[in-house]
Formats: sequence, C-alpha cells, structure tokens
Amino acid sequence: MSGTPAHDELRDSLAAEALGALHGPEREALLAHLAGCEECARELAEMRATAGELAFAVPVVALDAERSARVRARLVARAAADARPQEGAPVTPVTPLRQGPAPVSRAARSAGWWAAAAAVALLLGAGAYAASLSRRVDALRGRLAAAQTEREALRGELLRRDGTLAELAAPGVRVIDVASPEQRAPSGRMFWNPRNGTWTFFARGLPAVREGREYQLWLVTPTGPLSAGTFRPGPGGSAQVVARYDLPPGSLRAIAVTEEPAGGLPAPTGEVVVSGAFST
Amino acid sequence: MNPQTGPTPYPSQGASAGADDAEEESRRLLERMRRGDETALGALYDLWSPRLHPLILHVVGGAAEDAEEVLEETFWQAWRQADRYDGSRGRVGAWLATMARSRALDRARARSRVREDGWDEVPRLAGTAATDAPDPLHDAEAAEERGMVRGALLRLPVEQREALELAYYGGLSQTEIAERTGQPLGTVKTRMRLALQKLRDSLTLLREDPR
Repeated sequence: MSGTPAHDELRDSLAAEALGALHGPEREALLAHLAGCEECARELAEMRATAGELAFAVPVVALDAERSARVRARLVARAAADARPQEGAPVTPVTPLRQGPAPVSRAARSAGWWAAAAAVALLLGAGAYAASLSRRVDALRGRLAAAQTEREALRGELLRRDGTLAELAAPGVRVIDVASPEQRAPSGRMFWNPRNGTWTFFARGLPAVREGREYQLWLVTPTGPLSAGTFRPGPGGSAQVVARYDLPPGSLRAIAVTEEPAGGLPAPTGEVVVSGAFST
Repeated sequence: MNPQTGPTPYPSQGASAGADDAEEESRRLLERMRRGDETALGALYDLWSPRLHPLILHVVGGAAEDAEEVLEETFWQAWRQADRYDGSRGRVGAWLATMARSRALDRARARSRVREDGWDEVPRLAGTAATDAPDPLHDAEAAEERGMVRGALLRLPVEQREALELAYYGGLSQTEIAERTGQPLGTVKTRMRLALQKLRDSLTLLREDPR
C-alpha cells in the first residue's frame, strides 16, 4: 500500500496514534490500513516505543514509605483472596430510599420547586462523579473482601491458640519433660490431659531433618510405643504437635521422639532424639 | 477500538543493559503471578512502584491520594491480567506503564469533569524546573535514562514538545490539542510526528555516545 494516497494520508496519523491522540473514524481507518501495511505498522511500533520513553521521564517524587507499604499489603491480601477463591463475600444490599409522601409544611411546599430544580442540578453534577465513585466502590469492595479473608484467617489462628492454652491450663494436666541423651538441646515438654486424651507437645532446638524424613512422636506404654504423629520442625528447630489419643491413666511410661521416614512407621526404628520418663 | 486489528502492542523502552535484569526478574514474577503466587505481586510492586508512581502522580496532577489509588489499581490490573502479558510485544515495564498512564488519565478526566475546569490543568513536564527526589531505588542507571529522555525532550522546539506533552501526559486528542493551541489539525499532526522523530533520533545519539 506504500505510495497510495490513502497510505500517505494515513501515515500522517501514525504519531497521533502512537501518542493515543487519535480517535473516531480516522483511527478506525488507520487501524484497518495497518492490518495490510507492514511499513506503517513498523513505523507505528517505533513511534510507540519512543512515546513510551516519556513514561519514565517525569520527575521522581518519592512515595511515602508507610503509604506504599499499605498499598503493597492491600494488594498482596487482595491477590491472596483472589488466588484462593471463596464464596463471594456478602454484598450489602442497597437500601432503597423511603417511599411515600412525608408531611410537608406550607413553607417547605412553596420552596418545593426550587428544591426540585436544585436537586436536578445536583443530580446532573453528581452523574459524572458517580462513575468515578463507582470505580472507587469496586476497589474498596475488593479491599474489604481481602480484609475479611485476612480477619477470618487470624480468627482461626486465635481460636486454635486459645484452644491450646485452655488445654495446657486444664485441671489434671500432666507435664512430662523430655531431653536429649547429650544433655543439651534439643528438648521438649509434653502436656497430657488424661480427661480428654489431648496431647500437646512443644519441642525446641531440634536439628533439621533430611529430605524424606520426619520426626515421630511416641507414647511409650508397657505394651510398646504408640505413634502420636509425625512432624517437621520450623526454621528455628521448634515444633508443636497436638494429638488425641485415649490412654488409660497409669499406662504411660515415657515420651520419645525418633527420626523416621516421612509419614512415620508403626514402631520406632531411628535413634531417640529426645525422651522423658513419666512417673505417676 | 477495532477488534480486527488485535491488541495494541506496548511501547518498548530503550533497553539499557541493567534494565535487562529488571526485565528478566519481572517476567519471572509475572510467571509466578499467573500461577496464583501473591508474593510475586508484592515483589513486582517493589520493583516497579517507585518508577510508576512518578508517572501516575504527574498525570493526575499531583494529587497524592489519587496517585496512590491509581497505583494500587494498576498493580491489581497486572495481577488480574498477568496471563495476558505477551513478552513478544514489549517489555514488562512498558506494559505496566501503559496501564498506569491509562488509569491515571481516566482518573484525571473524572476529576476534571467533576471540577468542570476543562483541560486547563494538563500536567507539564518540560519548561518547569523538574527536580527529582532522591531516587527511591538508588538506581543510577534509571536516573541516567530519565535524565537522557528529559534532556532530549527539552531540546525539542517548544511547540512540538507542547503537542507531545498534551497528548501523552494530558491525554488530549489531536482535535483537542488543535483547539487548545489554536492551530490547524494538520499542523498538530506534523508537530507530533516531528517531535517523535526528533526524540527518537536524539535518544539514539545519546545512547550511542552519552557524553
């Protein structure tokens, strides 16, 4: 199409298109032309690249660090909520304005027309603003959903911790300290509530386990050790395990932790990492 | 928009060597975002918000609160549309800047309509003493790039620069620029074309020989 009058004419619009300043039929015509004219398409790409340079030429104004951190936190929370889709957060229905006539005084009635005219003028002005408000409402609704998700997660965590604390403080809870044979870290402490069969175990200073291995917690009884679950320690070597197992009072001899293949075994095979005897 | 012509490519930036690292990192982050990793969005924000915020603030005319909201919405759009980013059509920074500018212009237009003050407050870059705050990234290379583009812009004849800025930072159409400057439409088109050509030539020269 190079050299045709249409080509020459449309070519003059390339810069405007690159700067986003072309609209309407002229833009439609240019876009249609571009589909078949490599020369213009290439020139437009170059011009767009040059126009794009302007994005990073503006003066740098530092974004307040605290505000920026808030924006970032909101984004990550929104994205987390978005990545784990849940049932749509309940949307508060818009309450309709109260219907029906209200008692109107004579003075108010005489001012009625002016009030109506003012209301219309206000509505016209408000119309444009409504569009921008609507966008902000969407944004705020997203933030609200993210905040609600975060709140639920925190609430769950809080309830879990409350439950653990209640277990530790329950009447009749027996405490068994465990230590390593080397008399150094790691160490741990088991809280056993025989009334409801809850075992809450805390350990610290545990060495990291190798790939494919886990620690296994054992309740040692006269008939042999019973598994109370497997776990991997956190980054600092600490761990918390909650298990439920009804053991008749008087049948616990000791608590022990061994290192076993991931998933655990029916009976311990690894060396004892920490252990502690239980005496009634 | 013409559906037949396909998506608009994002303008690619003049690539400097150091920008390539950021580009590579950005593409990795977008890949993680596509897989639903929200921490990647945080990292992308860390990487690009210091560069997009000045653009947004400039376009919305210095309104800090608006800029903050537009910044958030820009990255939110990036999160939602991460799978639409096509590396063959441009660099990540250019893709983000295109979204940021577009959203900032929407915001500026909405404000402008509300205030009914028309287009009297189109942000201007050149001609003012553009001073930079300390670069939040301490990125000397980005600062040099910025200085280079600004320098090239300042070398343009004033009427060409004006047309460029009204269109890019002000979001004005060619017709609106013609009305505003009192020039025939043809003149406006020519000014924009010459401005972009000269800008490109200056930048090519400056990048070849920065001194």
